[in-house]
Amino acid sequence: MRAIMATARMQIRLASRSIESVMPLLVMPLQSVVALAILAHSGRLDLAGYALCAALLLTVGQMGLFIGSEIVAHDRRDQILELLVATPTPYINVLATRTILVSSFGLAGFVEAWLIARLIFGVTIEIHHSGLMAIALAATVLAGGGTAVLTSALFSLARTTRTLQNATNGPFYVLGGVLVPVSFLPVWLQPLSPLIFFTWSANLVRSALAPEPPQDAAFQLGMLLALGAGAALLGVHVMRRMLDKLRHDGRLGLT
Amino acid sequence: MSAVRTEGLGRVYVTAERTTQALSDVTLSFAEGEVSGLLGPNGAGKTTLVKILSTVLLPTAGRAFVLGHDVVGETAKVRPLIGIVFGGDRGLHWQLTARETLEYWAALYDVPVREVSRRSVSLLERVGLAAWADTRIENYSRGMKQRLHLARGLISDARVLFLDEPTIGMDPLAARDFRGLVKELKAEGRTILLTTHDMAEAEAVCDRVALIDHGRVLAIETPASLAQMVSAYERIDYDHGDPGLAVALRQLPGIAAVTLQDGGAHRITMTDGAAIQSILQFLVGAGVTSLRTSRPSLEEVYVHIIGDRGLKV
Ligand SMILES: Nc1ncnc2c1ncn2[C@@H]1O[C@H](COP(=O)(O)OP(=O)(O)O)[C@@H](O)[C@H]1O
Ligand SMILES: [Mg+2]
Repeated sequence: MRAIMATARMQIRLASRSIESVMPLLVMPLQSVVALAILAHSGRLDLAGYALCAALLLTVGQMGLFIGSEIVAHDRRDQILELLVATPTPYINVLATRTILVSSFGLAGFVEAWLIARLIFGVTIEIHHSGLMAIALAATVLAGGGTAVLTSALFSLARTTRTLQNATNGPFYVLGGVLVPVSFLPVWLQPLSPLIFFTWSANLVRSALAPEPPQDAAFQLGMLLALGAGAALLGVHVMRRMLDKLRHDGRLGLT
Repeated sequence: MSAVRTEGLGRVYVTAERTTQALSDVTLSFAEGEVSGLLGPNGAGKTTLVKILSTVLLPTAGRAFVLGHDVVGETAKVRPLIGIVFGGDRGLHWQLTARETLEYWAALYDVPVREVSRRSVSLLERVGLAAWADTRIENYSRGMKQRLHLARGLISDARVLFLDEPTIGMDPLAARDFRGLVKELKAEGRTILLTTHDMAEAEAVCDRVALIDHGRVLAIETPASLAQMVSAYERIDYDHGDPGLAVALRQLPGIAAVTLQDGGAHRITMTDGAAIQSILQFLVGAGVTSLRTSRPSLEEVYVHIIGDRGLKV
């Protein structure tokens, strides 16, 4: 527990002191402004909630994919991985703490988009079910962090991860119904959507924003957490195998 | 019990380009409470050995134990017992300060909470970084980062310390301070294994020195016999126009060879370091005014050792 708290403190310091490690948060306002401007132009500011939901999932997703997923590769590059592995604290504890925290920083995208809608476009996006929203956000952060454990482990061997990240970035948002509702997707793609945690997260967030009583929230929450936990468990397994392999090959410290 | 023991330890690296036998059949043991050195030129296998002992690299043959625990099968027992310092200035989050760094690693080593701040302060003092405790590492010089690494390696109060070329790139003053620190650590009862390619450093701080080259331990010596070995191969260079002098020198006892160097100086190599005084007197008597003594490089000593004993010890 102490190691986890100390790692969290360390990660917050890193984030507050280096711009690269929070880049998606800095880019998000721009994207939100553009999205909302399009809605305003077409007279559909009633859909601002969709923009808010997209902003949340994009930032959580990008924090996970671009920042969280690089943690192992960076630790390796900086010759920190060997030192961490040599401590009594399992490396996976350090990694999961950091990915979950990084993912939680993505919540700022939600706040940013809400404030932009309010201050620039004069729209107050009402959260009709705030309890559900809080739970949905927390579960989204956990699922994002869990998924980043897996991607971080997978990316750990790559010398440059950019291409991988860019290639994985777009499709997930499309499949997860972040950009357009899943029902807009070609029929043959739709079966993949339930496998993406964004799908469930987006549903939950939209239900929390809508005035109607939420439908199936418990099931959606369960799916969201199950997908996050599944990715995390797989990530733990892959990470363990990866560390064994690196230790075996003499490549824990990038040479 | 020995602090560090290896049995037939071997490590082969296989990469796309080549296969390297970095360690072969290394069997040695270092006693608790001693400062032991691994002395060898670049590529000898020192770092490989230290990494295996630190549990971050698996051997491809043989076994190794730290305080009786197998470094492969019992990593959970080994890791709390060891402190490691790998050479160079990497391995730090440069956005953190020295104090934050030590507090972070203290938590990873589960140092008792009430101990952490006292220990960090005293370590930073010990490595001369007290005034920089709250400065971010990105502003540190290479030498400062290395000193912080030392403090980081000591934060867990480990019984066994592995220091891999800890003084590489340090200025001479810092390196001298470091030697003082090693003596203090030994006085506290710690076991230290340090690697170096600097004979003077090995001589200065080690109780025993393992000479290692091409992945093999060639000899395990005390610093005294190491010093003797080094001075035995000490040489004298002199400038003098008369070739007859070289002929006369060759008749003296204790002289192995007198050779003409590039640039016109003559180099005297000795079979016996004790002969140096009489040789110097002879040279001065012969009117030589320009002469220098120099110590052989590590490589040269190796050539002598290998030459003397063959590759097998
Ligand atoms: N991770 C690695 N992969 C492949 N070869 C390596 C690796 N690490 C070291 N070597 C090779 O193993 C030999 C011993 O290296 P090392 O243990 O670093 O020696 P030293 O620390 O004494 O300089 C060298 O030939 C080196 O090139
Ligand atoms: Mg080395």
